[in-house]
Amino acid sequence: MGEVPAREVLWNITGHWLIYPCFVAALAVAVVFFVRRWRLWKIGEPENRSDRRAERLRGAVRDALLQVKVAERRGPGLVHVAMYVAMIILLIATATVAAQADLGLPLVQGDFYLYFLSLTVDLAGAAFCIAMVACIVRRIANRALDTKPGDIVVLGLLLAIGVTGFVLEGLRIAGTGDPWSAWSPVGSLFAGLFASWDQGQIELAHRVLWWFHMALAFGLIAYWTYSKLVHVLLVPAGVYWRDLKPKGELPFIDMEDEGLLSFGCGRLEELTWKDLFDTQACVRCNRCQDLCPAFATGKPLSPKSFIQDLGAELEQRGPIIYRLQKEAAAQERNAADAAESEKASKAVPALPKAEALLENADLTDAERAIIDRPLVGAVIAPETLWACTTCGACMEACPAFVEHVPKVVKMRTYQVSMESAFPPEAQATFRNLENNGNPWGLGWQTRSKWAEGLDVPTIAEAPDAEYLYWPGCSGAFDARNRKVSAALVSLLAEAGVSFAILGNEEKCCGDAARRMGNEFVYFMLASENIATLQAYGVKKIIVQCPHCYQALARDYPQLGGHFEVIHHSELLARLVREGRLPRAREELGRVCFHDSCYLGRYQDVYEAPRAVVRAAGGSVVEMGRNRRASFCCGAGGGRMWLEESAGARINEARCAQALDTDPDLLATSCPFCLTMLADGMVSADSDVPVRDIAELLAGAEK
Amino acid sequence: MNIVVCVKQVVDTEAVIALDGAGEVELMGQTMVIDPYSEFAVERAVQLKEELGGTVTLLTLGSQDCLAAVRHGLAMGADAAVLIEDEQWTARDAAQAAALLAEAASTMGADLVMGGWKSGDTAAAQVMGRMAAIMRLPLANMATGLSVEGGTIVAECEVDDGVETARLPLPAVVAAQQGLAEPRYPSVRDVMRARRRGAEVRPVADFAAASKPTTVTVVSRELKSGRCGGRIVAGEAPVAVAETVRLLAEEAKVL
Repeated sequence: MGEVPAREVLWNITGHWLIYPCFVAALAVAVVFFVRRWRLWKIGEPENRSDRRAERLRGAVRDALLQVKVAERRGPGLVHVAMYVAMIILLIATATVAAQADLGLPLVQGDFYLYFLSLTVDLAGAAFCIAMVACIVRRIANRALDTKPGDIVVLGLLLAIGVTGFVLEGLRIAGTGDPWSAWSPVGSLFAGLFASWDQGQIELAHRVLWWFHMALAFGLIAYWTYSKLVHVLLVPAGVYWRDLKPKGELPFIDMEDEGLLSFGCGRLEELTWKDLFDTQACVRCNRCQDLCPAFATGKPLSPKSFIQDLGAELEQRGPIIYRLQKEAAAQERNAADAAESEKASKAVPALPKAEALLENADLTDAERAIIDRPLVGAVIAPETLWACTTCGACMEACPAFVEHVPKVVKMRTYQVSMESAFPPEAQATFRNLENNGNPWGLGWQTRSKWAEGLDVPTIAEAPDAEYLYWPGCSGAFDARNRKVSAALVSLLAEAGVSFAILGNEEKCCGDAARRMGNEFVYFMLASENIATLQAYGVKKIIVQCPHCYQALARDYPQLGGHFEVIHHSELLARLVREGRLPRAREELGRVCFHDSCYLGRYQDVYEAPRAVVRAAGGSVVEMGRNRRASFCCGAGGGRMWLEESAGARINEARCAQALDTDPDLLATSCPFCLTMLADGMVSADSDVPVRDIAELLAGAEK
Repeated sequence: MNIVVCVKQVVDTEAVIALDGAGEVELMGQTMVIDPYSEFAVERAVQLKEELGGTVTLLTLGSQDCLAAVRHGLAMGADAAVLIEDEQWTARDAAQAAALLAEAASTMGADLVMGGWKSGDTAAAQVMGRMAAIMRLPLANMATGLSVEGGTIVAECEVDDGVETARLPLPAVVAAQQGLAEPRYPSVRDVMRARRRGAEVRPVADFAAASKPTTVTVVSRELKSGRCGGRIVAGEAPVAVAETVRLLAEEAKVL
């Protein structure tokens, strides 16, 4: 066989040039559908997601091109990667054939032909078809996937293209007596089917099927941006436009701006374009829902449905808003032109406010019904909005980097600030925060009582202290958490750390208020705290509550408060490492560690608290849901202060997971988690103690 | 229907109270709030306005500092407010306060005068009753329910061991008890709207009742002593019970 391995491209096909106009037509359809989508998210508020390009590109390469995040989920994630690789190989093969046929490049020959175009593509095609069949079976078998007809259409179309491709290859091999057919093992199998056919039958069948195969492929291209396949474009874009701000940072609302008439999101178009884009990029993969503690315990919240419901509303509301915005912009231009041509000194009349624009718009009754329905109430149920613990498990899991939690908070902000609509029990919390600066409403003058007899100076007494210790409301007022404060104080004293407290001048950090949507109360608390801290010249702050951590480190900079904040887990781990605190005083046995969402997922602190547990003599055992996949205790996002009436209790579900590890102790490093898990253990009728890591290290276990 | 609601500003109910050298309650640094009983009255008044139309006007005796409570009431939905500005308001007794408020209210054309049956701080429970007497209007005291039926009102009033439902002609005075209405939490939108509705400030000197002499003078104030903790009587049950009975009889002298 001295001959160079090759095959005739476009064997048996005449007039193949027709595919180019067809291709252009199909692509045009795809572009039209894409523009329709683009117009939908364009109605959102502006937001800059094009800064830090290098970082964005790196992220896109990692999580879109290389699919690292997709592959994090074994099973379906790896099948997706396989499909993706096979698809790329098939695309390269198609492009190569086209390049030879119409550009005259001699590509379909030699080793490249044998190893890649024949063998690799043959196997990739087979893998692709098998994956499609597997996906169709999975979709039919697994009811939880919430399969829609479109999902099956897409898979069926892809499978049909793959199978017709193989049949075509078989016909070609049979019809040409291809000497290199051994390099196309699957194609050869198909060729066997036509062994008894005569040449005329083969050629006719091949020609007909070739055009059918092409029709399917162009159909797919046309359908591409209409169907879920648009994720091929949108997910990489979403990955590129990911949120690069510190995790958990909420949009800044300037409460001192007197021109600000509304805040939060009460209408869909008050979300940002990226928020609306997210609803388009979501492929309903279920990863968020699988990890959501609210969903897992039967609450009326699925992060996936939340995004999908917003998306469905966008499909209806978006085109109307787009038209109205366009008309308003045209009017504004005309008004500006008119003003210019008249050279009138009078100011151009102010643009109609968005609200007035909608009220006065000329709409049909059907359109009016869509425009007038409220976002919360008609699109998102209030129970859904308030079920979220803002734990962030959904966002951590999402391969498209959809941002669920900020949308929830923005909508809560509107509900509370503009409509005064929230679960009734939140009112007492809000009033308590306003009047006494703590959620329990205990007299603010009693805040420093926890420190009585502990030899803890106030910053007024010890202005030169290196650290300000911030026990937070739980550490100061809650009987159980006061023990944690006492343990921490003893450890700080033992390690010779110079610290002082604000005492009665400390107020709630405002985290719960802000995440419950009460931006006004948050602003009052935060600005007072910042003023107090700055008056004392505080630079470094020790917190024991991850929620205070989030507020002081990530929320306060927006209001001009810049402090170096350290969580007690990090400080204690460091003090142990430096030998300033002794290690194990006793064997603690199996210590199951629960990650607080706001310390773990929000601040990326996972190892420090575990190091403290080990230093305290515990051997750390992990629950299945740990670290980035940790399962919330149920208290985040202000849920600590709300009733939990729907479904099972989240803290009890978490305690059951902890008890499965057969622990001697359950440890955490967040006062809310401590309260919730201790309650959960009582409900589970378990005597496994729940402790903060500081208590363990201080030997308060005896 | 025009409703006048008397609103008082008080120290937050959870506050730790201290006395200054002169025996006066130290107000420096204290959180001042709208009196909870006044707040029930404002809420029900605003609800009635929303049901039936009309206006709700707040009426406050106090210093400029009391405007915070007034603004809260405006944010809850009241339409207007009148402040009888008086720097010495805390020194006035209930009779004077009632006379001043009644004098102001009688010029406001009120169909209904409302207020808290007592206040969260001094809890004297005098002012609304005295106002009714001065204005010669019927009084529904300790009202936990209030509805308007034609030209009359039907009020549910707490009495010892029960509730009395009474029908009163208008105009009338209604003194609110807890349970009359659950006060709303004003949204920021409400607060901003309330900012535009200022209070009309009228100097106390303009009122004839201001010259009425004080009849009650506070001689001294004393803070309640804090709870001094329980005592645990140890020992076997029969012994401990006997000892407890002895202590109750001899030391506590309650038996």
